[in-house]
Amino acid sequence: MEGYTLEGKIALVTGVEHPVAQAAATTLAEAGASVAVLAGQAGSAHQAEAEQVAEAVRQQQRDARAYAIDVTQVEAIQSVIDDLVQHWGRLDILVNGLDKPFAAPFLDITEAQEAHILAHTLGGTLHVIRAAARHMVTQQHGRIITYLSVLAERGVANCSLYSMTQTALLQLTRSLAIEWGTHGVTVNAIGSGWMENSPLLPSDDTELQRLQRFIPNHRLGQPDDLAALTVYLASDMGGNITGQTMYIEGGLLSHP
Amino acid sequence: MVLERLSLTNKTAVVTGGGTGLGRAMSLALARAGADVALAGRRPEPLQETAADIEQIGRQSLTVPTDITVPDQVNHLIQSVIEQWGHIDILINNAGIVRDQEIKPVWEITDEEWHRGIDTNLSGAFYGVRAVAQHMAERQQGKIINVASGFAYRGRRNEYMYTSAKAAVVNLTRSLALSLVDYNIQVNCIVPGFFIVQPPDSPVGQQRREQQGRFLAVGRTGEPEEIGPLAVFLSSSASNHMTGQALISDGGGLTAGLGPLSVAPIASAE
Repeated sequence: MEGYTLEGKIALVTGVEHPVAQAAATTLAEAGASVAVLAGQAGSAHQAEAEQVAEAVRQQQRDARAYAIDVTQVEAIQSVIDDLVQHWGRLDILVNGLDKPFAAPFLDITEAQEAHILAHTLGGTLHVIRAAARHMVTQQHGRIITYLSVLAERGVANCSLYSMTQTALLQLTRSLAIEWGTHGVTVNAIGSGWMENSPLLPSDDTELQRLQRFIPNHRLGQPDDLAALTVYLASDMGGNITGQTMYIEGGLLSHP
Repeated sequence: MVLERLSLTNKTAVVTGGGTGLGRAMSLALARAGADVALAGRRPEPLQETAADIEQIGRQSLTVPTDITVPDQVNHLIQSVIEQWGHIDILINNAGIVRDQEIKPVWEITDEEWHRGIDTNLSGAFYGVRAVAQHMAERQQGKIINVASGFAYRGRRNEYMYTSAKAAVVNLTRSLALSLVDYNIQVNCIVPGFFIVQPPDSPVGQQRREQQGRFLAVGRTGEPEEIGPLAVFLSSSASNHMTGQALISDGGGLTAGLGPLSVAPIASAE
């Protein structure tokens, strides 16, 4: 499809333990990119998960690499970026999918939980961006796309900490867009609404149906929903868009 | 495969202001994605030129000279396309006028000028949706794309109608999205920042690119063809879960703007 080609581009997708990031990886490959995938936790189970996504990329006849690291460790992030740049020579596209869905009353949140969420979602994303953008700024070309949630825009009880991380990512997107605007590096975000398989969905069936009635589109988001727009923002044709957060959320944000 | 969903084969589109600028770029992108495109606008010559280019791509085209500020003409536009092609899948409300008034204080704006500005940049889009929405609702499918402007989100000195009308287009998009969602009609809005429609090799085109590009975060103005793939996305089933959104393509213009340079001096935290 015209304007949706990523032939010859090198991409890194993080957070591939989540379905939206998996869909991003395979769709970037569909558009022609070679794709490295990264799961945000270390260990053989996570490595196997990442390998599975890499295999889906290879099935599109594209080169793939798989990593599973603890993204709260800055050195581990650096060695992933070093490894993939050594292998492919450059890095054009970063899709940030690191996520730790979390809901709890503010008064019950422990310091350990707090530290973990902030270190994983915020610290991890920040450090991946810094390591990746060093190469993008040097090569004067790059595309950074962060996946976030409508919670960046609205308040929900029990989501104080989570929504704070989402707005933080949104604001990071804005300032970095301006900082790197003249270096050929665009920085954008795509926000989703209530997603299929999200741990934050109501467990009770009646409540879930009530929620689906409330969503204007009457359905939950699917992993593929974000993928085509991700390719456009990652493509050469997406270069005039930067600093933006675009929502694919079934009309939720138009709702009173 | 996700990207196959961007195909517009067997779809028909109506693009107002389709002969020139962004409208022309979107029309050509839709045609390349497989759609037949009907072009509406006041002047027939640019419509015919773009129509010829669409036929060159191998798609069908219609030209319907239309003044979008006249409801009867907009109704006629929609009716004649349905008569010719049987159905309309996509409506792009792109026609509008950036600046047709001379710069003057608010107390000198005439009633006629106010109404013309609001009609061209807001009412025209409403008339288009009103004319086509029931047809789309009966078919349980439709894509409506409004075109606003970065000035929907910011004021502009001595500019009243354009900024007000474009802000209204953004919120009209949200209300239409909620109202038409149960008919499987998605309504979104493209918000262009500074795009220069004159060719880069023309003196005016060159001058405007240099002048306006300097103030944008990406250091350049937008090129009309960059909007093409976004219009295709919003016209296709790949965007079926997106509705009520305003998508800004402005080189970072609206994100910046807190100072003339948008750079803070380096300050230590200690």
